[in-house]
Amino acid sequence: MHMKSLPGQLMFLCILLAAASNAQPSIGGLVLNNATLTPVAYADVVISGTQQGVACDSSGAFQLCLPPGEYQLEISALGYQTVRHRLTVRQGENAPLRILLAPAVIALSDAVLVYSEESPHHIDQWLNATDDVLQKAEGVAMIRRANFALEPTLRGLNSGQIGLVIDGMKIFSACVDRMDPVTAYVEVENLEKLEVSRGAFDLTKSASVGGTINLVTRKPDFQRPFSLQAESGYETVSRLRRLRSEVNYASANLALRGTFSIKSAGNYYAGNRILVTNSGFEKNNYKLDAVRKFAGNHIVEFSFIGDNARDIGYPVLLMDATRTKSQIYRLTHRWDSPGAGIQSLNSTVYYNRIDHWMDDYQRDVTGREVMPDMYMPMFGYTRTLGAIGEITVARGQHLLSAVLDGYRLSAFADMKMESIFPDVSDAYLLNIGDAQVYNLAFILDHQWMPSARLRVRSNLRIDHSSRDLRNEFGRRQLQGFWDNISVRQSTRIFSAGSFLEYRLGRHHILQGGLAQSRRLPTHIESYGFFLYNVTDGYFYTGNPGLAPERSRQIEIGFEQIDAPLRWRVNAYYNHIDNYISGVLQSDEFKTFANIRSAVIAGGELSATFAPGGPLRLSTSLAYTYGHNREMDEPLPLIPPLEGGIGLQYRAGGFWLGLDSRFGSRQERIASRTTREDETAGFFIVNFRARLPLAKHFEAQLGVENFLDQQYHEHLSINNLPGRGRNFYFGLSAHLPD
Amino acid sequence: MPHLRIFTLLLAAMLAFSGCSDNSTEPQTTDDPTESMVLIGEDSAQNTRISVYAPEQPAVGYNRIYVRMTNTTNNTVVNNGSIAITPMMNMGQMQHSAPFEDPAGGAAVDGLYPCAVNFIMAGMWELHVNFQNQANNDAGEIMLNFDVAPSSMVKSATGADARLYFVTLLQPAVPTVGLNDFEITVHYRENMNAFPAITDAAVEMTPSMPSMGHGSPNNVNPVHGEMGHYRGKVNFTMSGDWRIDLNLSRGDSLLTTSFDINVP
Ligand SMILES: [Cu+2]
Ligand SMILES: [Cu+2]
Repeated sequence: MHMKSLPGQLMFLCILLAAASNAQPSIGGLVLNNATLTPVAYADVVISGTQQGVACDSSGAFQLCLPPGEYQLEISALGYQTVRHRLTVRQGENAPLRILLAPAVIALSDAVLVYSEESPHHIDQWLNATDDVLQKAEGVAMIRRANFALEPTLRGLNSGQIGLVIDGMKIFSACVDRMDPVTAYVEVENLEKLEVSRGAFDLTKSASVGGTINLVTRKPDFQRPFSLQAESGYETVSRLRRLRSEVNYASANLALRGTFSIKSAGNYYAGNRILVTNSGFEKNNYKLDAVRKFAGNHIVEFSFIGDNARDIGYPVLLMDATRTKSQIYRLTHRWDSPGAGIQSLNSTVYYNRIDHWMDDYQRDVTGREVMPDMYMPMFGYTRTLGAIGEITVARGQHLLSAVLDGYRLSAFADMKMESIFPDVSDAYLLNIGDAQVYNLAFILDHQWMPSARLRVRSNLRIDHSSRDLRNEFGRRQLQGFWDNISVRQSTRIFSAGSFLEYRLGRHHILQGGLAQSRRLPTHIESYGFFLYNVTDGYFYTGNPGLAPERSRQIEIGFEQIDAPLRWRVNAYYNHIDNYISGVLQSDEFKTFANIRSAVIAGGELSATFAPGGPLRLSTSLAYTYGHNREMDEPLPLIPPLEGGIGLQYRAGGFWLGLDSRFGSRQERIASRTTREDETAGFFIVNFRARLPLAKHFEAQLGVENFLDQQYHEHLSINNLPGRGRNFYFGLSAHLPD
Repeated sequence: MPHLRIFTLLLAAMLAFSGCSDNSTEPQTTDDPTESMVLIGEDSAQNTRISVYAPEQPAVGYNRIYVRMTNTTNNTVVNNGSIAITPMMNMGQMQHSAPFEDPAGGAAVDGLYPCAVNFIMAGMWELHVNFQNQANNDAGEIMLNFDVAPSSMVKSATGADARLYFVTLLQPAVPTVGLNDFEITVHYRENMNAFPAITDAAVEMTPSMPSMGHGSPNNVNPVHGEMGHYRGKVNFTMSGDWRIDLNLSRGDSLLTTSFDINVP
C-alpha cells in the first residue's frame, strides 16, 4: 500500500540504492499540518548533516531508503516551522512516520539559545556569565555599575520602559539605586534561552514601549535518566573563583534538576593593569526544578530559584550592597491539546521576595560632595505575587492566544542617616513608603495565515493598574511635594500592535510592523523619594500624577533564512509622548515628570554564515539614535554604533571561538540634563576554547580583552572602566559520559 | 435559596455596622471644654469668680488662655461679660509685660473667654484679669501668679531700626515629615508695658538640615493674617534636625532669626 503513493523518482532511487547495498529498508511517512491534520504538500525531508533527502508529493507522503542506524531528519516546508525528528532504522519493516508541522508563527522575539538539544553550540559551556549572553543579543546594551549584574537596555530604553521577566514572571528590583537587575538571578547554567522581543509588537509579557527580555530557564530533562556535572573555574582579572554543579534525574513521568553555584571575586583590573578598588563580590545561587507528567497531556512544573550575594562593591556609586537575598517560586500547569480545538492551556502562579541591604560604612564620608559626614544605611524589599493564564486556540488559518496576567507588588525602602558627629541626631526617611501596585492585563495575540506567504500577527493588550502608598510617614513625605495630587491612583491603558511577514520565496521574508503602546510609570517613578541619581547629581522625587508614556512605532525588516548565509536587517522609529524624565524642581531636587516627547530610531543588522562544516561566522551591528525633543538634546544612556564578530570552529570534542565586540565613539550626549560625557570607541577581542581531556573531563579556557584595552562603554555609569585582560580556565567533570 | 439567605444576612450585618459607625461619629456636645485643660489659677472678687485655664502648663511661647467668669451667688457661668488681661513679670527693680491677645469680639465661646499670651521669658509671672460682670454689675480685677516653663519657641532679635523684636513659633507644634502648617507671630517692644504686633512684614522662610546641607522644596513663605500672625507651609522631607531660617523685612531688611526643630 506504500508503493501506491511512492513517487516514481523515489521508487527509482530506492531500487538503485537497494541494488547498491543489498536491499536497504525503506521508511515511509506522512507530513501533516498539526492544527488541521491536513497533508502538507511538497515538504522537504533531509537527513541532518547531509545533502541527502527527498521531497513529499502533493498528498504529503514521502519514502526514504536508508541503511539501518540512527538518523535525524529535518522536515521543512514553506509556511511551517522546521521540525527535527530522530529515528532508528531497523532491518526489515519500519513503521510509517507521522510528522506534524506547526504553521510558522511570526517570531516576534529573537531567541538567543543558550542550551538546546538541537543547537550544537551550548553557550553556557563557553560563556562565563548571563551578562555575556545578553551582550550577544542584538539591540541589547548593558549598563555597568559594578563588576556585577549589569542592567540590560533594549534599543536605548531601560528600566520601566522595557519588560524584564524570568519565565514570564514579574520580578521587581528591591534596590532603589538599581543595583539588582533581575538578570542577576539566572546564572548562565540555568539559562536555556533569552527571548528578546524588540519594540512593542509582542505585548504578551509586558506593556512596554521598548520590548521585553524574557530569561527562559532550563528545566529538567526527561531524556537524561541521571547526569551529574561539576565545574570549577578561575578568572585572573578579579581573582574570581567559581564552582558550579548540576544534577538531573528523570524517570518516565518525573524529572528533577538541581543546580548550585558559588562565586567569589576580588577587585578587578581595568585595562593597563589599573586596579579598580572596592569592586569585589560574593554570590551563590541555587535552582531546583521538578516536572511531573500526568495522564492526558498534563504537566506540572515547580521551580525555585534562590540567590544570595554579599559585599558587592560599587566603585562609582555612593554605597555598596552588603547583602541581597532573593527567592523566586513558580508553579505551572500545562495542558496540551485538551480538545475542543484548544492547542494548549497553561497557568502559572508565582511569588518572589527580594531583599536588599546597602550602606557606606566602608567609605570615607567626611566632606564628600553628596550628604557629607553622614552614613546612609539603606534597606529595601519587593514582594510580588502573580498569576498568568494562557489559552491557545487554532482554527483554520487562525491561531489565537488569550492571556490573563495579574500581579500584586509590595515595595518598601528606607534610609537612615547617621552623622559622624555625636551631637547631631539621626535622620530617617522612606525611599518607598510601602507602595502597593495591582496590575491586571488581558492580552489577545492573534495570528492569521491567509496564505503560505503572508502572515499577520496582531496583539491587543489592556492593563488595569491601581496603586497606593500605605505607609503614613511615606504619604506625608510625598504630600510635601504633591499637596494636591492623590497618592492613590488608578489607570487603564490600551496597547496594540500588528506585525506582518511576507515570504518572497523559501529563503526571503519581508517584515513590517506598526504599534501604539503605553507603559505605566514604575512604582519608583510614582512613589520614589529622595533617590540620589549619580548620572546627574540630583535627588529625585516620585510623582504620583504621572501619565503613562505613549509610544507609536514603525518597523521594517528583511530576512534571509534556511540558507548557509542567514542575515537580517531592520530599521525602526519610535516616537514616545509623555516621556518620563527628571525635571528640575528646586536647586537640589528633581522630580519625575512627563516631558513632551522623545524619539528613538535605529536599526540592526545581523548575519550568520554556517556552510555546514566545522566553521561558523556570525556578526551583528546596531545603531541607536535618541533625541529629547523638549530639551532639544540627545537622550542619555544611548549606545553608539555597536557590534560584534564571532568565528567558531568545532571539530570532534574541540571547540574554538574568536569573537570581538566594538563600539564607535559616542558624541551624542545629554549634556543639559545629565553629567554624561563623550565616550571614545573601543574594540575588544576574546578568545575561547573548550577541549575534552579524558573520559568524563573537559577543560575550558580563554582570554577576554586580549589586547588589554583600557576603555569604558557609554553605558558605564560614571565612566566605570571595563575589565582588562582576563585569562580564565575551568575544569568540568560529568557523568555518565 | 441558601444563597439569598446568606446575602440577606450579609446585608443586614453591613447595615448594622454602618449604623454603629454613624452613632460613634456623632459629636458629644455635653462635654465641659475645661475638662481637658489645666486650671492655672482662680480667684474671686465681689460676687464673681474668675478661673483661668490653659490647654497645657504655661511655657515660653504662644499660650492660649481661657477665662471663665462665674456668678458665685447662683453659680452660673456669665457669657456676656468682658475680660481684659495683662501679663506682667516682676524682675526686682523693673517689671515688664509681654505680647498678648484679649478675647476677639469680647464675648465668651462655650462659657470661656479666649485670650493668648506670648510669654517671652521663663519664671514667675503675674496675670492681671480685669473683668466686668454684666449679670450682677460687678467690676474689678484679680491677679494670679504662676510659673512659666522655659522653651525655645520665642526668639528675640534687635532689628535694623535698633528696636527689640520677638518672633514666636506657633506651628508646627508637633512637627511631622511632609508638609506642615507654619505660623509665627511678630511683635516689638515699644516700652516695658507695650508689645505691639507687626502686621506688615514680609517673611522669607528657608528650612534646611544643617548637618546635611540640603533644604526642601515646596515651602510657602508665611504671610500676615491678623494680629501679627503669619501663616505659611514648611516641608520636612525626612526626620532629623532641621533649622528654619527667617528673614523679615519691612521694605528694608529688618532682622533674621532661626528656629531649630527636631522632626521625629
Ligand atoms: Cu542598592
Ligand atoms: Cu537629610
